[in-house]
Amino acid sequence: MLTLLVIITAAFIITRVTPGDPAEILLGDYATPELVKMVRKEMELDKPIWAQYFTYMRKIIRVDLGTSFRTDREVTITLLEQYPYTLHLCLGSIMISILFGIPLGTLAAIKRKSWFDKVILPTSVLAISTPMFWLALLVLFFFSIYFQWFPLLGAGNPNNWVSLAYHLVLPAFVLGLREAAIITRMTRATVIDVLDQDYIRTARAKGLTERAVIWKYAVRNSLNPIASIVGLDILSLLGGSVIAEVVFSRPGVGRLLVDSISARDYPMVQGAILLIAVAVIIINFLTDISYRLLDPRIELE
Amino acid sequence: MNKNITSRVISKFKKIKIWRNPMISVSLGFVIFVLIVAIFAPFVVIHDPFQNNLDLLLVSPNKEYIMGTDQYGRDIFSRVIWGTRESLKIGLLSILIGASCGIFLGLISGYVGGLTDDLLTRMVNLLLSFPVIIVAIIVVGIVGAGSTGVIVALGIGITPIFARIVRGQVLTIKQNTYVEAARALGAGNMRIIIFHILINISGPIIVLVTIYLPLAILAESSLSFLGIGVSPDTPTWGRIIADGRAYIQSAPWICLFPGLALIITSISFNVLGDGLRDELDPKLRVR
Repeated sequence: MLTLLVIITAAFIITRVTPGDPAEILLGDYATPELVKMVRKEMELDKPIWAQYFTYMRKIIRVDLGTSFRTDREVTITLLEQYPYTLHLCLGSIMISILFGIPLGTLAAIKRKSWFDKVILPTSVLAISTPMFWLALLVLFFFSIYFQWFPLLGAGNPNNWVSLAYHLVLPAFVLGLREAAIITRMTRATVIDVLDQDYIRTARAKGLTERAVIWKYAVRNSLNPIASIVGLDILSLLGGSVIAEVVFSRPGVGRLLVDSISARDYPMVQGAILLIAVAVIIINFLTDISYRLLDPRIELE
Repeated sequence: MNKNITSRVISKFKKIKIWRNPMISVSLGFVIFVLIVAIFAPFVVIHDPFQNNLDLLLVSPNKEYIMGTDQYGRDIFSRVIWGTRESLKIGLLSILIGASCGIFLGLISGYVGGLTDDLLTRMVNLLLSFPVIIVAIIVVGIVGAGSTGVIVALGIGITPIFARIVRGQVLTIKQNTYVEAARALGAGNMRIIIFHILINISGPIIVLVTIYLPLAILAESSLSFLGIGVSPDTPTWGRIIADGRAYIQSAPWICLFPGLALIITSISFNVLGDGLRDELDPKLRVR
């Protein structure tokens, strides 16, 4: 709660210390001073800063984030329209990274020092080192322009989930690849650690099959450290989604943030920062809960 | 005094056996190569990287222009070389800012403790919970785009990472008897911090720098790609790719070569960083 208050205030301060007058930017180079003054009044920018802060706080309590300077629409509504696209993208990527990362990492740990393990490590370094936007361009060039298997732009028809999913494939894959590599490496390291534990030796000694030892004991006990990495990964996906949205020309909160910052659209920037902050808090909370679900020994504070 | 620090760091490096690993020594070789190219860029370029040439628009790679030319007829090879200089400069400066601020805050936080530590840790955790790229976008929005803006933004993004790890290290090292011994001998706080604590966390710091330098270079190129990074006349790798994006169909080489330079450099730093980490401080592995 306190964190949220700090962020709300920070979002306000950030937009106010940013140089550039939103009224002048909105009206362009040929605006007369009188017109600028009028628009400033309409935006309530002529009032003292503490009065602006007070109005801002009073409105936030009523979940009213004001109207955008740029599009004249309510910020809350715009954000509500935009956030599902970012959510889909992040969920899609995290699913790809988990579905690839955990099995590949486990396999590499079990078959340690085999050819498979030796291929996994350099591949993951390659995936981590490749800039996402460059990979996105490469993928677009091959799959959308050259082979024309996937759509080039946009997020598809919002009322048709097949179209939405189809437009999601490339961005989710590109965004998830790096995290998949990180999860693979982390899983491999954790499973190797766990396989050295005493209880694994006990499980083997009492005659359990290797399959049971691995899936019931080794992987189960590795899930907790992996969960914390997944939590961190979702956060970095949130950052990466900004770039993915721009390259793939998808709508979304990240792109909204970038566009609004260049347009000095204060209410929209504040709204986007708040939404991201709330998302960050929720993700951290869910990560904490997942620890408890994955390992009942941990008590929640 | 200064010589003492240098010689200790060097002797620590000499003990490292990782140079026998071919992957790591090749990476080190490439990192040194990239640094040399960056320093001597004006002598490496074949053509003027800024010179427009309307007779040679979007020429595909050939003997004269080994990486082709862009939409203004500028030589891509020369621009990639110049980009090495610009990208590394921004990466190194932002790491320098981020690391110094982070080390400073971490030292204070870990050494002083109490309320100062509490407040600083809270601030660091708040910043850390946001993705670096979003922090950077917001900071660039405030301080304005351009090289300086990007360096400051990335520096602020990197600061909490260093601060948190340095704080953790300081907390452990502070417990050691040699710190107590130094204090008993009458050493002041400054002396203890510099000669007993800072010197003992130099290993992890070197590792962190090698790990976060490629990330800083990647982040710079991402910002430039988004159009909120360096100004258009600064050819960093990210900027060249962003400029070539519209021509990906007709002239893919504009994007291809700077991207490859970016990837190979990033891989070299990552492999080197992993190797150094395993050798100098295996505890840092959890990432």
